[in-house]
Amino acid sequence: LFFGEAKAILNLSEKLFIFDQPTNSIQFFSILRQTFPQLSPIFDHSILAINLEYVQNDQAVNLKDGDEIALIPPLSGG
Amino acid sequence: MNQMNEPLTITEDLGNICEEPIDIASLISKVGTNDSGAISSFIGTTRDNFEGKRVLRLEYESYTPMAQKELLKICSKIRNKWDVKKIAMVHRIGLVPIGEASVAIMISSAHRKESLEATSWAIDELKSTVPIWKKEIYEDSSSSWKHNCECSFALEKKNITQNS
Repeated sequence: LFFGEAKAILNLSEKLFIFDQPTNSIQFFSILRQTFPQLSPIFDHSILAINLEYVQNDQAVNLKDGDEIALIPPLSGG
Repeated sequence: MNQMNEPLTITEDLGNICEEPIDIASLISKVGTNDSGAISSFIGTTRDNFEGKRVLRLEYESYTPMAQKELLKICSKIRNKWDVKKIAMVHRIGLVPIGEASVAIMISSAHRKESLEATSWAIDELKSTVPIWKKEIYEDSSSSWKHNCECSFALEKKNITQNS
């Protein structure tokens, strides 16, 4: 899922990824970077959330079928 | 017997994302309890200027299911730190006209110190953890996605417009 500035740049709110081999969150982040080079300014200060929980960028979480992954750009609530 | 005692200690916290104007009066009545001596509140309102630019309107979007979960996490952290009675945290999304409330936090406690401290802590925590994004649209038709300085991962790169 994409939100905020990332969603606006891509004009896309969600995309389905299918992997034929086990993939973890760190690998997924680099796949995102390759797939969406236009988001490069955002990636450096964004993190992922998997199934509604933040995942730190250095934390490798194995992805499972059906996981909902969100790219979380810098927050600006309040 | 237990059920009869329950209404004396209602601890359900309210953590909500809404698209309508925030009803401040109704929130106050929700957090009031007979054994509270204080209700502290923070109401964040939308400002019409940023660094000299005139802001025409503000739009918020949220990752709603996660935002609600993070709001409730803040409530439970508050309960670990302070002895408070009831907590309500509401953030409005969508277009929020200038001068209206985008966020409201209401906390009741037996004595004022706890709810005042908890309210101040809660808004900082909200800004750093709850997945909500704000876009300002300026008079010259430019716009900007804001970044809270409280947001830890936003700081990994410099030269970002920051806003507190």
